[in-house]
Amino acid sequence: MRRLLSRAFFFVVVALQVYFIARAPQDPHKHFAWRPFNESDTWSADIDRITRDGRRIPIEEPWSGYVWGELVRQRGLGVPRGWRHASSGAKSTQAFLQEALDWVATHTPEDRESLYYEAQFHFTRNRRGPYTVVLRSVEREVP
Amino acid sequence: MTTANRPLGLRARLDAIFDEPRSLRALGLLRIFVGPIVLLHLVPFLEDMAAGHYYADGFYSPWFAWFPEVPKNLYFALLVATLPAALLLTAGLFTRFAKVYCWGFVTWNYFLCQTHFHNNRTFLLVVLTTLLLTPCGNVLSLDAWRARRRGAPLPEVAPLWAMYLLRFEALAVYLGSGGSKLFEPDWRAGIVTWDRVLRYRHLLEESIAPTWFVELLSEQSFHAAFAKIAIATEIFIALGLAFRRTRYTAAFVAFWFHVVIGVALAVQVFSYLAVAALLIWATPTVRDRTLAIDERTPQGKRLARRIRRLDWLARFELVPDEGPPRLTERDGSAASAGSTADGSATSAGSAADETVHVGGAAVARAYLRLPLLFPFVAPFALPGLRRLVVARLDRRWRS
Repeated sequence: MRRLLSRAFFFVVVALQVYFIARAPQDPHKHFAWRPFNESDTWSADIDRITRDGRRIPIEEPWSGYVWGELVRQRGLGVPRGWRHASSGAKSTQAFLQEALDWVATHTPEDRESLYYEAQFHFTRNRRGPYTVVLRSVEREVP
Repeated sequence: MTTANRPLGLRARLDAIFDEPRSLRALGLLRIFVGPIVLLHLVPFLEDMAAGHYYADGFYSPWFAWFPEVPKNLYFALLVATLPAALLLTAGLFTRFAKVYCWGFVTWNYFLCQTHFHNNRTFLLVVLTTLLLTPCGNVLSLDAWRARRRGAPLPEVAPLWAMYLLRFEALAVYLGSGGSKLFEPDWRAGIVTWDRVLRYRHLLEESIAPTWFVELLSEQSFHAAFAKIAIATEIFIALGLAFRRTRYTAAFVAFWFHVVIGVALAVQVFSYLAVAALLIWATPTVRDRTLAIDERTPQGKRLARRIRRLDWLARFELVPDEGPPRLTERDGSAASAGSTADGSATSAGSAADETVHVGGAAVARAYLRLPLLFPFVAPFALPGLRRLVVARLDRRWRS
C-alpha cells in the first residue's frame, strides 16, 4: 500500500506541475508555473467611491472612520495613486485590485453612503502603453 | 560492458527510484540549511507582527473558502513557535516533530492568502515537503547521535523517491522560468531587463558601480544580447542537471547564477534555497571513493584533515598508504573512466569500472567533490587549467 501511495503521489505531483505550467498564460498570478520576472510592468490607479447621490469621492479621503491604506495593505495596493513597478505583473495587480474593491465594499458596515467603488487602473507593459481598465466593485446594499 | 554497468530500462529505473535504499546524507545536509531559510522567509510576517498586524486585518484573498483560520493571537503564537521548530530542524533534534511543524506552518500560512504567493515561498514549500517525506533526521543530526549513544543507530539509507521528485521540481523551476522567457518576444529582445534597469538606474548611480558600467547596463543593445544569455543559462542549467555527464558543469553555473541574481534582484530566500537544493544532485552513495593518504607526512596530515572536515556528503573513504595520494573512483562516480587530461598522473583501475588518480590529480579531483570548495575549484577541471593545477599540486606534493 505504501509503495502504491508513493508512486501515486509522485505521478500526481508531476502531472499537476505540468498542468500548472501549461495553464500559466490564463492565470493572472501564474501560480506554481515558475515564471519569475516575466514582464516589466508598471501600474497606477485612481480609485473613487461612488455615493448613492452620484458623487465621486477619491478614496484618499477617509470616510465613515475608514482609511483605504489601513483596509488594503497588501501588494502595494494601499497607496494606489502614482506609477510603480508591478512586481508580479500588471495582470496580477489588476486581479488583486478587483478583489480588494470587492472586499472593501463588503467589509465596511459603517459606511452608509457609498454604492460601489470604481478604479481607473492604468498600466504599462514592457514599455508599451499606458493602457487603462475600469474596475468596479460589487454594488453595496446601503440601508 | 559488465552486467553491473549495463544501462537500466525505464521500469527498472523507476523501481530503483521507489524501492532502492540510497544515502540520506544530502537530504540531511539540506535539512540543516533549510532551518535558517525558514526563519529568513518568516521575517516579513514577524515584522508585520511587531507592528501589530496580520494578514486578516484588512483585505486578503483566501485560496480556499473552507481553509481553516485562527484568531490573531493564536496566529502570532503559531508563527513564533516556528522559530524554535526551525532551529530544531537544523539541529536534527526531535526532527520528526520539527519538520512536521515547519512544513505545517509554512504550508498553512502560504495558503491563508493568495498575496502570500511568491515563487521562492512555493519552492520552500516543495523542499519542506521533500524533507517531510524522507527520514532526513537520521543523518547529521542530534537524533542520530543520541540513537548511536543508545546503541541503536538509525538507518542512514532509505528509498529517495521524494528526492527525485524534488529534482523534477528543480528542473521545472529552471525550465519553466527559462522556457517562458524564451517564448516571450519582449524578453528575448531584452526589453524586459532593459526597462527594469532604466527604472532602477538611480540606485545603480548611487552604488559603487563605475559610470561606464551604468552606461553599459542602460544600453538596449546590451540587453538584446544579455537576455539571450540569461535564457540560455536557465535552460542549460535544467538540461545540464538532468544528465550525469554535464551535472557538475550545470551545478557550477547554477551556483553562480543564483549568487548573481541574489545580489542583483529582490528574490527573498530563493537564492539561498536554490543553492542549498543543489545538494540533491550529488550521487546518493557514501564512501564510493577511496583516498589513500600517507598521514605520516605533514602534507598528508593536512590533506586528510581537510578532507575529513569538508567531506560533508561522506563520499571518501580515507585509508593509510605510502607515497603520493591515490584516489580510486568506482562505478559511475568517475565522469569518464580513463580519460583524464593528465595522463601521466592517472591510470586505468584494476577493475573495469574503476579509475585511479595519483598525486596532484587525486588531490584536485578530491577537492572538486567537496561541496564547500566545489563552486570555487570547479573551473580548474577545464582541460587547460586542470593540467596547470595538477602540475602545481604535484610539485607541492613532491616538495
